[in-house]
Amino acid sequence: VAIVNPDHLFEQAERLIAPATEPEARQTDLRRAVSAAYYGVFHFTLTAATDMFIGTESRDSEQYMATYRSVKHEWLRDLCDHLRGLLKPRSPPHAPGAGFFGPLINFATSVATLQEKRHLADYDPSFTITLDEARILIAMGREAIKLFQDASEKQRVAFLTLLLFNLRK
Amino acid sequence: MRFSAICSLAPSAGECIDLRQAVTRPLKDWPHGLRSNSGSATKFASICRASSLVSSLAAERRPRTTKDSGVLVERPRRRESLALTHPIVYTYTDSDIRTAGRTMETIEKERIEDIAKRVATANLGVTGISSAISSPTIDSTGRAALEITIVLTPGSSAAITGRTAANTVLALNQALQEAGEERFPIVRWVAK
Repeated sequence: VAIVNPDHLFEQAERLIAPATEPEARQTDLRRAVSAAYYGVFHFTLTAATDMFIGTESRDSEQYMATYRSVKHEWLRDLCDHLRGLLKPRSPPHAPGAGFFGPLINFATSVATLQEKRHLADYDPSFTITLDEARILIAMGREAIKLFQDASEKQRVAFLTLLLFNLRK
Repeated sequence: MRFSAICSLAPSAGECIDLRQAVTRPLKDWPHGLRSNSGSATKFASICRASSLVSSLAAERRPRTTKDSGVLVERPRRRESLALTHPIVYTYTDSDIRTAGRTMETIEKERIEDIAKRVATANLGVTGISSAISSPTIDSTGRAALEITIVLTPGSSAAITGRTAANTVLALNQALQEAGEERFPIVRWVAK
């Protein structure tokens, strides 16, 4: 099975904002670029989670597909919001603090931002965006993946486990 | 007219909600002030009437089935009401906002903008930032949020990398939370 390659989504986003023949970039292209940047991070995260639990050797299996498809955008957002909440001066004492998740706090903040922008880009007819901002958001998407990879295995396992098994509210 | 989603927090006074959202939003997710404040009882009653009307109309839009001799048969739908094609507007008042039973801490606009400018300058450099502007908004989950526009000086956006942008948003989150502001800052980058 050909898993979605996040790099291809980022490259697609960059092509969409590349200088064109029109004097100004089209809003349609900029919106699609923002959406692709978010989906680059989303698919990267889903692949990491499913690879961890089902295994890369089982990518052709039904279980792999079912697990991959089970994750909702809301689950990822809830988890990211949970991690962002750890930045509060008073976090619940029984929960691992921001220090436990390290670079994943930065990853979670970027994902939440990109998800909001993706939602606006895909659904809000009044949303407009500049070429500069689209470029920054694509760069944030690429950076989010680096931040995830910078995390320790223990941090990544905790994050992906919470993602796949849906954070209890 | 600025429309907001029905959510657990009331937006600013003067903003409007389209009560057709009540079809998909359970009553428990409505602004607290609109269901618990006795001063808003009359308005709330009218909202309930409007929403039950909307809900009943929406129910008629759904396919209905009846069990007839063990076979599920779809009943013909009634003609859709024109009411669903027009917003049913309710405008929040100051009273609603005061009694909305907020559970999320917020701070003043000036302080938010001061924090945003300070954080952006610290992360992006003093020459790149012109100002920071904040305004209340609702995020995609229906929760109160902040739109924070970082106004960049012309030409300075090229220097912003993914890492500096991510660090700025993270630092802004942290600084706002430390100041007692719990709304999620949705950052915009605009060069002027």
